[in-house]
Amino acid sequence: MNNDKVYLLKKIKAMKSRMNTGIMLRSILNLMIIGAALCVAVEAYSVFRPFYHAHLTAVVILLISLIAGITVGVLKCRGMKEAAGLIDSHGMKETVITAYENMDKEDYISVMQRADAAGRIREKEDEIKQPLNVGVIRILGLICLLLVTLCLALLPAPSKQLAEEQHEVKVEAKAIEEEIEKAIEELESIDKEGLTAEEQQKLEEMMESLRASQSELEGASSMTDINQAVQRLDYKYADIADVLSQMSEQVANREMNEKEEGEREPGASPTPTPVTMANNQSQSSNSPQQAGGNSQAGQQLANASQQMQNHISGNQNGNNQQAQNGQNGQNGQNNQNGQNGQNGQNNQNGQNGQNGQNGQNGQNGQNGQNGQNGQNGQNGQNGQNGQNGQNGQNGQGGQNGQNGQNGQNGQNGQGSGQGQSNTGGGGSTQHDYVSLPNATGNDEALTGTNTGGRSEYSRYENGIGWTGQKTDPKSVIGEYTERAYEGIQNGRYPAGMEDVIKEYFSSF
Amino acid sequence: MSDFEEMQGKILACEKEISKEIIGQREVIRNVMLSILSGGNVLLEGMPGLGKTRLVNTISHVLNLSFKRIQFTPDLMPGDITGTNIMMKDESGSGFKFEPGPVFANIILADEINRATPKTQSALLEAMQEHLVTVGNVSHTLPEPFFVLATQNPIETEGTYPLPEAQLDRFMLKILVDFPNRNELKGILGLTEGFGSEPARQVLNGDELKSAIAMVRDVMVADAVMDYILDIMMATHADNKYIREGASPRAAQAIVRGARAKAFMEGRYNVSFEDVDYLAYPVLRHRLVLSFDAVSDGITPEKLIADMIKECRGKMQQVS
Repeated sequence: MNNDKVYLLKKIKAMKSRMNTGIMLRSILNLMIIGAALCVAVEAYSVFRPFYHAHLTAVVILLISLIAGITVGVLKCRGMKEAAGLIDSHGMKETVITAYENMDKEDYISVMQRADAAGRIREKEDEIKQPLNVGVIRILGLICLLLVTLCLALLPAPSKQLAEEQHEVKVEAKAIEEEIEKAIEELESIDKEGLTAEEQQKLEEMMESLRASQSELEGASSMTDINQAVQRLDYKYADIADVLSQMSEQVANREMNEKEEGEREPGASPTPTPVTMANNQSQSSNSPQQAGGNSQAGQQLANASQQMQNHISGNQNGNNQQAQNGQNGQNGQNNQNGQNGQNGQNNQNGQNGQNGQNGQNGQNGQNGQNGQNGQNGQNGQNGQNGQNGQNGQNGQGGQNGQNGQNGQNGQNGQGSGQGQSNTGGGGSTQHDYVSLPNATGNDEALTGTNTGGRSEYSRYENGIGWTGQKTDPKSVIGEYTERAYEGIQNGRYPAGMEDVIKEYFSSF
Repeated sequence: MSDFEEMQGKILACEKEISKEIIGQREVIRNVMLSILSGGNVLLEGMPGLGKTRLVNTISHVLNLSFKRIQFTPDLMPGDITGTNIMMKDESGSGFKFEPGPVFANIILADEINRATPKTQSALLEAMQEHLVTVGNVSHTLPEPFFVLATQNPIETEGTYPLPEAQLDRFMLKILVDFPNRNELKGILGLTEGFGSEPARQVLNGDELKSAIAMVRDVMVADAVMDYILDIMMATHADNKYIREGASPRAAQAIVRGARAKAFMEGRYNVSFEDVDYLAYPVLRHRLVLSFDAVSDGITPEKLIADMIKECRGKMQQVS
């Protein structure tokens, strides 16, 4: 009798295993067919529309469908009772399930019933075979769908190339966005208590400007967009760094004034210049007790300015030459006074706003070498050149004035006004003088008589230094503006300079 | 051979003996035997002359049980069935003595039960359910085993009193007696008109029958089968425009008992789904109260039961 029990349990277990295997296979196949169909849809979509992660998505879908199939299979797994019922479906008249339910009972009817069930199974042992019912069509369907997916994945299509490009753009843009975010955080971390309302407003505007760049990068759809945005961003960084540096100096000045008012002692040591103060402050950043609230803000501004410079450097890492130049600029900022001018000269090789920053350093200088810095600004390609014009103002001599004029050309409002002023200060004439000593020049061009040792000179408005006729700007500004806008439309100007040009002409 | 198997053999032998007297009607014989083994009462519905009375008579003979026939007529009174107290006078004096009616027998044939008035019909209620008869203040126990086999004519409805639902519910099975086919009819003629036949012999007695009834109660019912029975029962109460009233719990009991009896007669120790399906028709057909829609659409109880079985089977297969 006990043999019947063992025999029944063995048969029921075997049926359960077989049944659950079939259920598991069917579940996996069913869900993988659905997954494969989705993969086909995804890959087909990627053929017509840019979808960079199509392959990854397809693989993930297949994996998910596999896992889901296994999960469903596990959830659908049947127990011994169901297996017994399945055996009964082979004409056992529910003897097996009844025997299984009463397996623990040992009364006469249960024992006889169990024996009856075991006997019936033995009689029909060959007939009781449960097929897996996986289905050939199911398997073929899955294979076909996978093959179609593979073909679509390998099929070359313009949209796939486009998707790759867009992906690169996104990656690039994201990296820059993160950098911008850091810059914004740096600005946000500045202690605003030591700043005036105007300075705070400027800070807000800087952050707003950087956020605008973030938005611009988010909407970038090509590398060209990215490059343009990066150029504009570089300009912004440089501009922000410059403004921050100025603000730092202003803060230092205010602090110095406050200190003077606080001391008010006769015979006190000479008041340090604002520049020296700012630099000293920069050097003595570990002495907050001297700086107080303002010096803390000033230090933060100086740090932020340095960070902005670093961001520019970071943007130039792709080009060795630019990176090298940028590094030079950074050195210039860190150095003191007259040496800044030399560093600025290094930046003469630079191709971006870093030069402008050097121009600002030139402002800190005290000799003609600052003028060289201004000249560096002339080499710059963006708005920092205007800042160089300001350097020219600080320089001495006509050379500085000339730099200022360059600043006018390169940038807008600020550089323009100050550069013109320097031009006047330098005493420049309308045109060059041409000296014609006796032994040089073309005799035919000489007038007068040979006085025997005495030389004469005359002036002509056709010399090599003649600047030409002067024209009223109002009479040509319209034409120039029109040309400028045509140039913008035709793409003649470097990317990112369009707004600068527009702003320049709209300032008249 | 175990007692169980021996009894199974005897019951099958009874069936065989009955078949000697009743030509054809195998399903009717089987259902009557199922009802007897389940301790239930049977309502036989069929045209006159189909051998209903002969069937009951043969069964009582084979089972060696006492048999009484009551012809129900409109003027039949309850006392005519149950018996009554009559005044007796002897040397010791006079008094009332209960005179048992024809209900006091093992097998009662209530012939054309729908011809009696409801009052008389209801006189059988207590006897059928409780196996008791109460006259005055005294209850009298009926002999065991006790079965009521009632007949009714489906076509002659004039002057009849349809059985109330409560009384119909007391009948475990309602068995339809169909007209025999040509060969069966020939066999009937040969049997009754003296072409020679072997008379049915007695196989069981009352005690053995009671023992068989006890054995039937031991037949096992798996949970799945029980659930299936419940599904069918609940299906009779589901929203169905053709069913005005579903079956009572007594119907579920009847199915379980009948299915056990069927399994027993077939030599099994457990009830199968097929047993349930088989019993669902005779158990439910008189318990389903059809709606006017069913009548107007010509829907029969058998059709509704078949639909319910199909539905429940489908649901069961889905679950498994």
